[in-house]
Amino acid sequence: MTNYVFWPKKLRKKEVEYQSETLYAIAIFKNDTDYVVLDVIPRASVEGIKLLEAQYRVIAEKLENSTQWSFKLESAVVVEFEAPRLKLMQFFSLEPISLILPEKEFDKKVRALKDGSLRKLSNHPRYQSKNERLRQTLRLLNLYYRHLSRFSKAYPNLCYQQPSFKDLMLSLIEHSVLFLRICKYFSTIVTSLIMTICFLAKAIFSILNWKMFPLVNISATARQIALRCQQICYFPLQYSRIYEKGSLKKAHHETAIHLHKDLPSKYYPDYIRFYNTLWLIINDISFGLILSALLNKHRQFLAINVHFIVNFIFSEIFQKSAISLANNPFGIKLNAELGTFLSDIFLWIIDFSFTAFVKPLTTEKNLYRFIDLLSQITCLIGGSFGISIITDFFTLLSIPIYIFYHISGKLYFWQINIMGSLFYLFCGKKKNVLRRRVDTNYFQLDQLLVGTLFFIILLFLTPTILSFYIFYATLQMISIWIEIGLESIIAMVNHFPLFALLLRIKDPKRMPGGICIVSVRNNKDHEPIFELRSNAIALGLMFKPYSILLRSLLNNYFSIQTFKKLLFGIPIMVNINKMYFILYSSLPKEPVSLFTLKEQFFGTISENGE
Amino acid sequence: MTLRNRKKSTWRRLLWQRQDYPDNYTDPNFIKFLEKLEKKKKEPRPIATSEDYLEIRSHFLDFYYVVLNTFFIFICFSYIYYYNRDPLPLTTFLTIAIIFLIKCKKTQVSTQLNLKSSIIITFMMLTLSPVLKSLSKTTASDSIWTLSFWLTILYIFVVSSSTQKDKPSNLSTNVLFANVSVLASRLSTTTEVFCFLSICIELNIILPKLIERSNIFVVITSNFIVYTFLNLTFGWYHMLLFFLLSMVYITVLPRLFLYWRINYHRADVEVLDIWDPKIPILE
Repeated sequence: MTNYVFWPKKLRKKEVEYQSETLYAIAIFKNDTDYVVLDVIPRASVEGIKLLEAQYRVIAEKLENSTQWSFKLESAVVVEFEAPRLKLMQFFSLEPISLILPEKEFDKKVRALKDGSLRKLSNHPRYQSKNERLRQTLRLLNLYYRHLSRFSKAYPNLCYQQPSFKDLMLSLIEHSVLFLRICKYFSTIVTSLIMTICFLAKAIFSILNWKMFPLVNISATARQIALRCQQICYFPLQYSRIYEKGSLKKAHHETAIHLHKDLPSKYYPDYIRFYNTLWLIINDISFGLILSALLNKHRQFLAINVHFIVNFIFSEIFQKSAISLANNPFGIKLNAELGTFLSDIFLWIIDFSFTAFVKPLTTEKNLYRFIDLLSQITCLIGGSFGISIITDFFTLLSIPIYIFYHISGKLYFWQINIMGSLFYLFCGKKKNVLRRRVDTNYFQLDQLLVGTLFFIILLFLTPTILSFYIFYATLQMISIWIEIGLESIIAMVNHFPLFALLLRIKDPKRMPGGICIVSVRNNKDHEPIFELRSNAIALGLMFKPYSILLRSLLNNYFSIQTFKKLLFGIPIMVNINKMYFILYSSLPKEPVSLFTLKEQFFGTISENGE
Repeated sequence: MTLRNRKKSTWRRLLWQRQDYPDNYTDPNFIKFLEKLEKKKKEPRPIATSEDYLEIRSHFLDFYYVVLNTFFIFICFSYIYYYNRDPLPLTTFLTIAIIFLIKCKKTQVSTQLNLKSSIIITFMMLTLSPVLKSLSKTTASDSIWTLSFWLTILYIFVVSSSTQKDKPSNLSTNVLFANVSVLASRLSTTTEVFCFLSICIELNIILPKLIERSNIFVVITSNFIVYTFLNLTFGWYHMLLFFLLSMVYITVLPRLFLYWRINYHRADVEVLDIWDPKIPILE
């Protein structure tokens, strides 16, 4: 059986330094891992020690002035690696780092494994991955520096690690009593402030998501406010999880005697999520400043133009089209009575909505005031709020189109359905609702006569209804696309993985997406020497929620399925909340309860103070 | 599936189709077929019997009756539209006649068409008459006449090609109603529309179920009505022309058809015709 020996690269330099002496390589191993070399030590130092602990062993020896190691193991293969620096939060991982909360995993395969019955199946050793040994070795590798410091504490004669300046300062500060007392008073004030803010945020969130009348489903501004409240509620919890006793702090603490069971790498995703949200909010505010400056500068221009456009659309497009649809558009002869009736309805709706709310909203003076208010809000709270208010304004103005579409859609739907079932009547069939199939049925003469009469009448009325439906369906689709465009901009501002992206560019080792073992060179015996490298996470994987969202958007609103829905008169609705569920994958579904918050956060702060 | 078990599809005499056989393959069945064809060619001509002639003529006559009956639609329409006569007495007369016939005869229609359903149908027609009137009001008269003409042709075609079992079929009813609705938009009052619709339904749908078209009484009446109408509307010259044409159609054409079928119809044309598969193959 081959023994894999993992050799840190920095020890090669030490080898060159101690070229003229015999060196021993000491490795650490557990019963289910491979060997990881901790240090190379000159023979002179080793002679003093009688016995090493069970987990340490001398595995190789290099004679003076030779360049080759002779291993005390059979068939040893050397794999070099660059030791991950815990302070910089680097680590190796077999799977890509997951930036999504595990309960929100939207990959169906992974989600299924969390279900009870599939879990039992996947617990069977047959379905486990065979990488157990490698996984444990990687855990060892990730904590290399910690093991090294522990080794140096146990055997100070063998190797000596200098404590860094930063650790000295930190320990100095921590032991100062005065500092502790100030910290304690400060922490109580801070905690109570944060608790009140969280309470308010949670209250606002539950009001907006009230089951009877969820504002979140209707208005984009409500969605945005709810998102901010959720994020605010989640911040303290995230913070406490990151800086909890025994995680990052523990990793830096050199005097740790008991190694914590959890690897610090478990909390790195939380760290990334926390700072990503923070950065996005700050970005949002700066974006809001830009937007408000733009709005301020072009106030006059915008007010005049929006007023003109809205008036133009209502008078020219809506009114004129409703009138012309009744009077033989494109020279197609429509049924006069039905046509005039429908166009009268639509004209009345246009008039009513125009005088009721569109006109007062879009007078130049009111628009001027509105843009003013908008720029103030964007300046204060952030650009995404501004865009969501614009989206809501647009939705309000397009209510008439929504009404038109639904009226003509309903008529068209009834028409198609009745004609369909009457057509079955002619083929001698009837739709069996109980069995959901079409059966043959023997109709009586009167049924046939009446059915045929209705069918002919409906057939002659089809062009009229069809022309109205096509026109208003097109208008509705255009308005939906504009709304979705605006919502996507908001989604980009809210959920862009900026922090993760920049982290990947700056230091790919902090965002591992798997490992690869490549052969770098051959040693004297022409045996290959391997190197363990970390693959940075694929860019596509970071943007996976976006690609899924885009695909589902396209499928719902711009595909053959949409066309089929339009053809059969099935109404097309915008349900943004359900779709953006994917993007909210870095937040828990409900804001945390105040009790858990108090326990965790309060506990962390008070511990940090001590 | 081993190579031996795979059955070859039968060879068909078609170009452009990839079959399991080589290009110069000669199928023994085909040779037998050609031999049979040669034998058939050398056969003596079949002699026309009078039964054959009578059968062909009855088919021709059926079509003639259908054409005659379809005339009734136009007779009724021009009665109302062109001659501006009041259609109510005609309608009542026809309805009474049909009720009388239903009471006398015990056919399937009489059980189906009881009082309740007739009342439903009547009221439905009354309600929908204004709608029918306004369906194609905006269309110009010329396009209405063209539309009606083509619908009539379609109607004759459908009625004559439907089998005996389901006369009149749903499709023919559909076409008839389309025709009626298209013409009804030219009429002026709702009463006229209602009467027109009811007359058409009774004549073309209910009456054929009650009495046979080839009944001698029916034949004489319909001929008489149609020719009178032609005479009144177009003049005796056109009536005579139509009469001559129909005579030729009834007496001469069947004989010609029989003669052609015996002497000139080549069975092998059917065979030599088929070179291509009828369904286009798109690769």
